[in-house]
Amino acid sequence: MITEGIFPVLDAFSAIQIVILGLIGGTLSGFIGSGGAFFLTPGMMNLGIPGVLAVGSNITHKFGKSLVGSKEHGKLGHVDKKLGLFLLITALIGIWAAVQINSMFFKKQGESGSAAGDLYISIVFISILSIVSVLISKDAVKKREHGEGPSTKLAEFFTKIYLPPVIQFHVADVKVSFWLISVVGMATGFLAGTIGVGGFIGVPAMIYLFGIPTTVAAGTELFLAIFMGAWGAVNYAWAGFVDLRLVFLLYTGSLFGIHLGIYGTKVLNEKIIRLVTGLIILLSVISRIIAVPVYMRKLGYIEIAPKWDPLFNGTSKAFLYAAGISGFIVIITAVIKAYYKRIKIRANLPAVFK
Amino acid sequence: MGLITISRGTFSGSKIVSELLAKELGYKLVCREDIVKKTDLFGIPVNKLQEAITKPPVANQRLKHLREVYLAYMRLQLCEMAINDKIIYNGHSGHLLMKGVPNILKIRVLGDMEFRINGVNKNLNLDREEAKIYIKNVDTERSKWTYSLFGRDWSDPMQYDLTLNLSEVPANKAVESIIAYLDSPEFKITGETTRALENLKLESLARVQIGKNSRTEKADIKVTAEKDYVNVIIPPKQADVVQDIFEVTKELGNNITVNCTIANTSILWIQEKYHMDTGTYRDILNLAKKMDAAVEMLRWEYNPGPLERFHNPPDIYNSGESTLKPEPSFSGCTDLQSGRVIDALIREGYSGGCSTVRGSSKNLYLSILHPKRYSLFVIDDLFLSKPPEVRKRKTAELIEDLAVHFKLPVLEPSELKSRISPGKKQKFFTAGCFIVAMVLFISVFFNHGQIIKLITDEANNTGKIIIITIMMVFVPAFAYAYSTITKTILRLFKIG
Repeated sequence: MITEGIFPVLDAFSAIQIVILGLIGGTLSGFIGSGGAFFLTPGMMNLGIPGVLAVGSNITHKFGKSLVGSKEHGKLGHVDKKLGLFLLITALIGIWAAVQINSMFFKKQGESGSAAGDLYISIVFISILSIVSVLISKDAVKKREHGEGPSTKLAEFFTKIYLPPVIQFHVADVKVSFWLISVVGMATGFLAGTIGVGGFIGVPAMIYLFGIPTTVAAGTELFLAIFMGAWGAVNYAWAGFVDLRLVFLLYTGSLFGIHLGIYGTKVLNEKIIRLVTGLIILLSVISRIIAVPVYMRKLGYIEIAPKWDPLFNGTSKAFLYAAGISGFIVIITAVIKAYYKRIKIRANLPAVFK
Repeated sequence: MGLITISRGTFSGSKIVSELLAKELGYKLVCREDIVKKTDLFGIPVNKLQEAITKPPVANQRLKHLREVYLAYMRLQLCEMAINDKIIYNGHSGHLLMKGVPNILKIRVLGDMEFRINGVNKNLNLDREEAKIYIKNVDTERSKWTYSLFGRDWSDPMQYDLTLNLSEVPANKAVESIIAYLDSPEFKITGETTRALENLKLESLARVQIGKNSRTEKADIKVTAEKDYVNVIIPPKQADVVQDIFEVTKELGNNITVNCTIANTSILWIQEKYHMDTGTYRDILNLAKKMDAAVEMLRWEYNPGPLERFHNPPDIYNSGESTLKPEPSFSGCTDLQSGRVIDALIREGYSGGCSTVRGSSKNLYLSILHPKRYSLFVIDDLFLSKPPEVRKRKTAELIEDLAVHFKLPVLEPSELKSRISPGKKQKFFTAGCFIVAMVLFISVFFNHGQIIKLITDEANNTGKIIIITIMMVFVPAFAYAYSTITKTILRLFKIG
């Protein structure tokens, strides 16, 4: 892509690609509450858009998309604002801590400084999210006596411990210890600040530690994303790294996708939502694992020829795309099946409706 | 009063469990054969019915009526016995006979093939292979019989509260388990159980009287009863039997009110509380007029089972007793508002009766025994004890589950409105959003150069602040406007 400074010169073809990226990211977002940073940012970078502009434009896009998504989820009773605000306050502390640690790595000059930071981020990503993806996927495929809901073992365990003060969240229909919320909020913020992906820990944590229904976890995460998006948008715009054309083109696709994703949460059962989340996180983790040898080579921990770097990076990128696209395909296929099933049932509606 | 149902497979050991249990509890043991004998004496040829139903399809209208009278008579017998005594019913599908009656312990007794073969060998003197064939044939016949009567698979464990495998558990231990189960509050006989039994008895009695009388035996009717009120729904083509039905049902007693509604089909309207003042009643009535349907009201008071209590354990456990104050019955319903609604429907000629179910969604599903009688379900005002967002969510989940389970359309009142009266306001609003979105989109692309200049000019903080402020307004405004358009487009395809 040709750029003027860091801003790209957009033609019809690249515009369409950005719209398609937005469609996939929006669908993932509406369905599992997360779909932005892990897919859209590297996706835009792959089109030749400089990284910092991709991040800044995506965060700005996230602000408006989360507003819409959160509003739609709210109509279905999927947003617990009180819980969102509790998580937000503690997440900000986590973000601050992450920024301090990341800055420490990136202050070091040269290739090794960047590689050290990249390796650190990748290790955090891999270690935490591999556990999360295995737990979610395993739980989703397990047969349960009382239906297809997620395991409540951990949530019951924390309720039994009883760490006051315990706060009642009416929309999510749970009571959770303030200390547990604080830890989860800070961990979400720390991960968001470190690897740019907060939903991947926030959504599973809400489901398994708080015992919240999957749809409410996705909706509340979108509500959180409004504030993070707004804060990020202001900061990146001030630094001059937001291209409104990219933001609007992303919206052209994502605001279709987000309704499809939310519709999916209405017509599909919890099990599928968790399976898709687990699959996406797992493929993202594999993507990161493949990129690790490049950083280790740069730091001198292993010896491999630099000519292999493009192969590792390319394969890593391929897995990342696979994560987003496979998740999108699974969601859309399931939504189409559910849609036709409903059409069949609704065909039985009396003639007065037709 | 008391009732336990034990469903059996042939030679599964249920007889010994039933006898031991009856002895331990001091209950009277009633077997299916006892009631079938009385049914035969009453003039319903059960064996012929069984033969006809379990053989290859016979679409015989007379058989269909006979089947319904048979079921009604069986129910009548069981209800009378359960009201006057404490009984254990050992039969094929007692739990399905006692539809909608809460707090009854429903047990299934089974044994593995070896266990059952041993039973056959001892009692029928057949060899192993003959025993196997015998068991298989009997099981097949019983499956067909139960399915033809109730439309259910009798072996589905979800219908039972307790399943006992006598090949693994000795009979005396099985009986101990049952007695321990009976201590649960869920199986304590309450005022609700009594009311449900009496309603079912009245309904069955009315059905039997109508079915046994030569003037009315051919009517394709649906009968419901609540307290002293019986509602009979008749299809329009048989409207001429209405007067005969009134005469035949005089034998029910002077204190019993019988109402006849002529309808083509029924709409099942499920709510926790009914009100005359909401638009829902008017919308449903309009719909019933257009569809020529009776409106059957089903009051469902949601009471989650133990597994659903995790998030909000109750502060005070009320031992399953209804917390409703007993109000004077009003046209067959237990609360004043529901009574007003049903009376209004009666006056309009579209009433299909009213019944009440309390408990989890499982109870709700079990109470809808003949879904084929309905054209659609309408759901409104449920989960009233929960916050609004939880109500929305649980209602959406219930609608989806009902639609998939019963393969019928399930609508909310808002959907009734949008079909009956589409909005011009909605169209104008969407057009407005389209204009706003286009203006914003074109503005950003045409002024891109200027925006970049201001946003990247380090020396011009004022310009940056202006651009950022505009951005924080434009971005959500475009998102909202464009999202309205996309939502409208998806709704045209009935998505969302």
